[in-house]
Amino acid sequence: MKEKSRESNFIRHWVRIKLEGFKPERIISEAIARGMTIRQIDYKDETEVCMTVAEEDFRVIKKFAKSKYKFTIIDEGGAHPVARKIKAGKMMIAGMAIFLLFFGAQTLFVREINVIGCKSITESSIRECLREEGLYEGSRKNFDCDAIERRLFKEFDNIVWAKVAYEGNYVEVKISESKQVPSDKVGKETPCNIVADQDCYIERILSYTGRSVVAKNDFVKKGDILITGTIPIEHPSYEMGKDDSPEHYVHAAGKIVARVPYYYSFYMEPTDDVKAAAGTMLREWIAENIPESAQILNKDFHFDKKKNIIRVYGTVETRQQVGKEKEIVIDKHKRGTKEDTDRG
Amino acid sequence: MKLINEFTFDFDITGPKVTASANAAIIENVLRVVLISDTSVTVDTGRFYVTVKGSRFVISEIWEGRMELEGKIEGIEFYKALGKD
Repeated sequence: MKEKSRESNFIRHWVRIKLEGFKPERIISEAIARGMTIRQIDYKDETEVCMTVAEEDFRVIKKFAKSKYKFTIIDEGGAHPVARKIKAGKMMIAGMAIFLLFFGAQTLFVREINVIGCKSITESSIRECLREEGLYEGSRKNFDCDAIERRLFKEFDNIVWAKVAYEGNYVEVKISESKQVPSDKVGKETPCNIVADQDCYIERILSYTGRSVVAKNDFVKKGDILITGTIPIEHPSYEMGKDDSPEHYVHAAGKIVARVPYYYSFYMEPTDDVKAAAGTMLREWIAENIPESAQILNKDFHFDKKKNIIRVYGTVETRQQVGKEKEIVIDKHKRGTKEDTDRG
Repeated sequence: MKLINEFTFDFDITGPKVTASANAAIIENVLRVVLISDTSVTVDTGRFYVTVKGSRFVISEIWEGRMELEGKIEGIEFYKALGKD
């Protein structure tokens, strides 16, 4: 059988004892003869010696010393006493478990969100947007900062810079708004497109600056680009590098004439001369809904008679100038960090 | 010292063997402790008794006949036990 190492005995459980009695050397000699290890033998007086032994050796010593000597345990240590103390301290274990639980909760969840830089946008709308992306007080910390930043750019037109960063369970959302919200009124130098302000058929298009992207007889919907201010750059002699900007921007200008169909519908009471009354009402409707400069090409009437009411509906086709300027927001969706901005 | 004598000395497990400095001493082949006090420690090594004299003695370890003694060492004495050759 393999003998236990003396070191492991001491690591497992050691005791510091006070040995009192006549000629304590006898006990020490007996222990040596039995192959025990004794440490830190400290002589106090002729009848008193302190020493450190392994706990299992101490039990043997007590046996052969019988009642002639008095042993007092002064101190003890090692793995066994520590384990015993832990086992006895159930409340301590419970406390540690609660602490670990609390610590885990503190590190895994978002405790506070601070939104910085709100001017025209309300903080609550930003928070609502963050919540939709899974970031709110009490949420897990597995949100995607990049996705949230993209969402902020997408949701709010006048955010020009956004940064979501967290430290521990504190999240900071910094935004920077543009000084003015992109509007339909565009300065003469500002890059812009000409877009359709209503559904129409293109009849004639003249572009003074920019590049027309629709042709005669094309049907366009409201918001479609008619003349673009984004001009691709194609160098005749050199190849463009990847980092080179492949396009430049101009303030698009031009004249677009189109046929615009208007659909109308209204109700009238039955009268003797229905057509005349309907004509009067249609003229009123045209005055209210169609610009004065528009040239009326066609109009038609349809009557839908019911019990006590007549529904009048039909179309009015006009020729008129269409298109409005819309600013081009350059690099709006390119993400920039504060560091990039600082570098200029 | 002749080589044979050095070998004999190194492998002698019956006689006392003491290694000492000013603050520590190691005594080998200790069979039993005869006397312990604050100023001297006497041990039986079989053929001889060895007494180390000094002050503030603490035996830091005794294990398998080897005693490590710490304290101020002032002298070492060997006594031949009566009845032993």
